[in-house]
Amino acid sequence: MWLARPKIVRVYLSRGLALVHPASGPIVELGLEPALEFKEVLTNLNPFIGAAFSMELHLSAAYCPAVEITYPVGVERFAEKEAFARSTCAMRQGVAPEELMIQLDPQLPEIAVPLLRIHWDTLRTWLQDNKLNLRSAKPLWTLAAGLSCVRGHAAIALTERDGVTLLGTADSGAPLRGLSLPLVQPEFADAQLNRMHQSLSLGRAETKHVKFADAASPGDVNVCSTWSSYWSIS
Amino acid sequence: MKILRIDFVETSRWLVVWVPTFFAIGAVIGAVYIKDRSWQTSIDATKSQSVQLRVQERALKDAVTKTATQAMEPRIAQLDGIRQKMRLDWNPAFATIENLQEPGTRLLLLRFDAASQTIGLEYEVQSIRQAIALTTAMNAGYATAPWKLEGATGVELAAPKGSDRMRATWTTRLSDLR
Repeated sequence: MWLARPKIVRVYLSRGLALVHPASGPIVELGLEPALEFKEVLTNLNPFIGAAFSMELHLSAAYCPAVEITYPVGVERFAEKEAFARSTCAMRQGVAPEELMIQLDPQLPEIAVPLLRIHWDTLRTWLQDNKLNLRSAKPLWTLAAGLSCVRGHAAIALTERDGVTLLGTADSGAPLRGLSLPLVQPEFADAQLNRMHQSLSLGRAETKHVKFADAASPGDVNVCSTWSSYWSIS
Repeated sequence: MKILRIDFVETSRWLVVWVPTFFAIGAVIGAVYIKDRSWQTSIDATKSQSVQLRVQERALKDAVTKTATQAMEPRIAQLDGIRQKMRLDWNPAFATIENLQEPGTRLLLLRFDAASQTIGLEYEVQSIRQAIALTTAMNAGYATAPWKLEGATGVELAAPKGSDRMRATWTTRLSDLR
């Protein structure tokens, strides 16, 4: 019935793993080839969309990394910051600035989130083909940063299958710092995280370490209702 | 931990701004509409009140005028008659009287009737023949003989010599003298 809750399908995309939570039914886990093209990844989701007409998308750190931006003195306006962040991200990723989409939180512009425009365009086309309305598209680590168990901690580390993200502030008044790095071999996640802690000068003890879809540790349903059993706290 | 608000779908972020804005605008419009309706009713009430007052005023004025007219009626009627008479052009009639050069005749009576715009003359003549001559003299210069001999009273038949006088009357309408 149309008065019922809108049928939303929730999708998590990472390199090597896709999760689909249909409007009704359990979460479907799709193991994918890490090098698979984005279009192919989306095509693999087609059978699980069902009757949904709205989609919420969570992207992994490999698709939407957190990039720390240090703005030069004098860059005040949001448009200028956006342009600067775009060129910085493009330089880091080795692409032309116009090939990137940039999202900044106006309150916290220190962290920029780039997304390849070709991925975005592919996604729009796929959404049109499936008559889906995109409600939101955000990196999973922003969701993790808002978790209730993270509250009170100075920093959060999120380990996904394809990347590690560290976000945090050294002091209460200090600016937010953050970094996402791709993870090719999961067993090096801890070492990677150690290096990140050092480079961002964040203390390991103040960091809440959250893992998502980790094969080694069991899921904890109490962490978050979204992707309930895929979160785990170590 | 600070929460980053990042979403590549920006519409939802703008909805937060636009939805309350539209609500506020709608509320303002609704308030204005409701207020306007109450204003409108009070305006209507005032209008109808003013119309009523005007009607009353006119009624009062009419009553005052009527009272005054009634009080002054005889004089006003007289004045009306005079005014009406003065409006008419009596000159052709006077010209007729002045131009008559008939010896032995005498104007006895000149009679105006403003209502029917008729004018009557009464002459003392010595004979019917003289009366006819007088009629001709009166009608001289008019294409349609306006003056008509209406009657004659006297004793001519009894005394054919015409020793006694007789009276003859003529009437015409003022409009025929033009």
